[in-house]
Amino acid sequence: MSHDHPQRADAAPPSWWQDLADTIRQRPALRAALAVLLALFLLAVYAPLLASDLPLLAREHSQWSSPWLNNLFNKTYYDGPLDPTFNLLILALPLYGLARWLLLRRIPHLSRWAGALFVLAASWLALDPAANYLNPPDSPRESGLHDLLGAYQAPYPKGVHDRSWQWHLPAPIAFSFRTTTAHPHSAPTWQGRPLLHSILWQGSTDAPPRLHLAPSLPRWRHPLGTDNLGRDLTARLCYGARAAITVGLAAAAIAVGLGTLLGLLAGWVGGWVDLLISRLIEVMVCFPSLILILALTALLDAPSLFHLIAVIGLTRWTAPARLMRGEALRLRQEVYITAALALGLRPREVLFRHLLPNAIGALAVATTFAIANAILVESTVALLGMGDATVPTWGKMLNDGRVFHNTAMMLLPGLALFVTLLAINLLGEGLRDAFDPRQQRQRPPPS
Amino acid sequence: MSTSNQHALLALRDLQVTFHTKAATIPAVENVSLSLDPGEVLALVGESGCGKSVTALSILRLLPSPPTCTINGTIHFNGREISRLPEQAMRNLRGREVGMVFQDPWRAFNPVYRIGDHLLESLHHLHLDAPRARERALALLSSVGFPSSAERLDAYPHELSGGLRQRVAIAMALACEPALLIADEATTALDLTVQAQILATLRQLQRVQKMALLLITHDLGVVATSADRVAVLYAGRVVELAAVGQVLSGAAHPYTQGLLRCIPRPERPRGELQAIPGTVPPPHLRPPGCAFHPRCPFADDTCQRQRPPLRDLSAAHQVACHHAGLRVPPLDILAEPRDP
Repeated sequence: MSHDHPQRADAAPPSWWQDLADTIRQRPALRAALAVLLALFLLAVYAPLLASDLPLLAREHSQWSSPWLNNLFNKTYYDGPLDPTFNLLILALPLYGLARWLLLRRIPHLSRWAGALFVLAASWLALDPAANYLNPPDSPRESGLHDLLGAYQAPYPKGVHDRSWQWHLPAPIAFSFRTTTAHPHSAPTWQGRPLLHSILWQGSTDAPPRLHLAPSLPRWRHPLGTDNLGRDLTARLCYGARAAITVGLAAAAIAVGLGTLLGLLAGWVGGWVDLLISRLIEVMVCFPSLILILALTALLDAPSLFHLIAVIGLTRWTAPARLMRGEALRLRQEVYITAALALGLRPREVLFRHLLPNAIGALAVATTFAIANAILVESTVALLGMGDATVPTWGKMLNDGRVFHNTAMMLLPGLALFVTLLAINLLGEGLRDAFDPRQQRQRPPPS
Repeated sequence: MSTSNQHALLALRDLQVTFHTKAATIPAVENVSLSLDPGEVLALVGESGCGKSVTALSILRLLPSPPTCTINGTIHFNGREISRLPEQAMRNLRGREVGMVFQDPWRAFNPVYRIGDHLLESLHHLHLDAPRARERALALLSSVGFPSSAERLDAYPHELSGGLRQRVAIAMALACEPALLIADEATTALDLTVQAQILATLRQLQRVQKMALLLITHDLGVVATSADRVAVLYAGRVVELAAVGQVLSGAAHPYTQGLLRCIPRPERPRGELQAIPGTVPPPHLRPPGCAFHPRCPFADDTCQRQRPPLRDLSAAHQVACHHAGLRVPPLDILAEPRDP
């Protein structure tokens, strides 16, 4: 073990990942894209801290409590497993950071143990919402973090607006993604809008009269205004980032994982395996994939976000599969592949240790495009009104705006989509260059 | 054949390698019989496309598979017939008992891994723990004359010169102390001085480890300095097989003689370089009879009709030619010095 040779461990060179980090640091576009995506990720994770209708801290009957914290993993309140799973990260990220900072400073080799422990704990915590989702209990279960955080909360806890607390500390935006402002201090109505509002935040005058609250101007309570149901747009945008990240990562993971496996297999094994997989790809490509996705979602009664993820993942694997097949065909001609086989390595080892890392530039580009594509497809499906109606995705928000003929309601999620997709594509471009080990490095050459 | 040597480390008998493509069936190697004793250096010589590399790769069954190929004949290694060995047993052979060095040091390394990673990987047969494997890797590097090894373990292949890379490749091939090392044009891509150093290293290691060396080359200079015996290949067949001195001084096959005359000699007056007229026929267009007859100065009717068998010229000198022993007329006449 390397514990016995600390002096050698100290002299260890920068790892491949450190080299990659150096390369990223030298590319401004890549850095900007990464910064945007990191900000988006943090916004998504900490959405409940920014926008929640539960008081962060409250005092009632001379007792302190935190309805916000107590309901972080309340699946009934959050309506599904998506938000409780993200909420795990609210606590896990700072805990992990703290653990690293405290432990790793002192005991250098503990890092991988801390990491493993963290992954274990996180997966145990994530199992709880996952199990509840797959197997909804008749009565609310008290398990996982509920035990740690105290008593089980009512399915729909009283929020900031429903209960007069003795004292409470609200979130910066005191509205969740579905809190409708239907109280006396509601937004100025659509009919009585001021001039500027009619230009920027206009609802079309042709719109049929509806039994909706009007979308409101930005005010101090609603920094970006509200939608037609009086729901805060800022809150919905933040929670929409969660849906976008989930759809992007999960659908891309399915698509790229399946595509890489099949593509590599086709290119590496060749023969009838290649023939079979290539024909399968061609058959898949023959269907217009959006139509296929719409047809598959139509088969499902009320498609949830996870159904959509599965459908997108299972229909979008052909592009990465073709790419990886080409990479496998190209790279298996390389002398170093033959050289690795001549060392007596298993073909599987050669495929995954030697061929795959050389295809990682292409894989990174394929993955980023797959992520962007999945987000876009989900938005399209939602825009057509066939998405998951319970999750505030950006596509759903676009659809709401489209139906209500409201510029702001379409502009804001559209802008969020645009910035996200642009950043992801920039990241893909940058990664493709960064992963190429023959690029110029600023590392001093060994003398 | 006289290659049925029971003590041979490697014995190929009637090796045939045929590629099957949609367009044609290509016999790349036809009836090659060779044997290599432990600790011996056998040079496999011939022009491009004569089947040298295919022969070497077929021993380890490493031929690329998109053109499907069939290997016929027997390959005995260490007394075992290995041409029908299951893939699992073959993997244990590769790297552990037979090492291989490839021609192009610029392409034989995976660009995403460091030199140290490559070396550690070559030690995978030995199942060493991490510090021991690192020590062994360093020892290997210093054994191939690699300077300041400890730092260079962390270098990427593209940061090293071709000569250094080839030294690493040799170190990797020697990692498990194989009984046989196959060097496929291992010095061809290098500068002459580097080439000489690498050859000296190879030869020295071969003597120290008592390892057999199959040296594949088209450079007779390499043969002269390094080999014990020479097998000359032409169009997928062995045309001459003899000790290196016999070949260099008394080559019996006109093709070998032609090859020898192609070497520019500094002691000779300047003039046009010699060449064998024509080119090696591609495998699917080989002429009937002796495959060399269209380029041979002695060719007659027999050569066009009948393929000459490999026959003993003397005890350890075999040649496949109907007119073996005839000397090619000195074409030097053409290259007379222009000024008296």
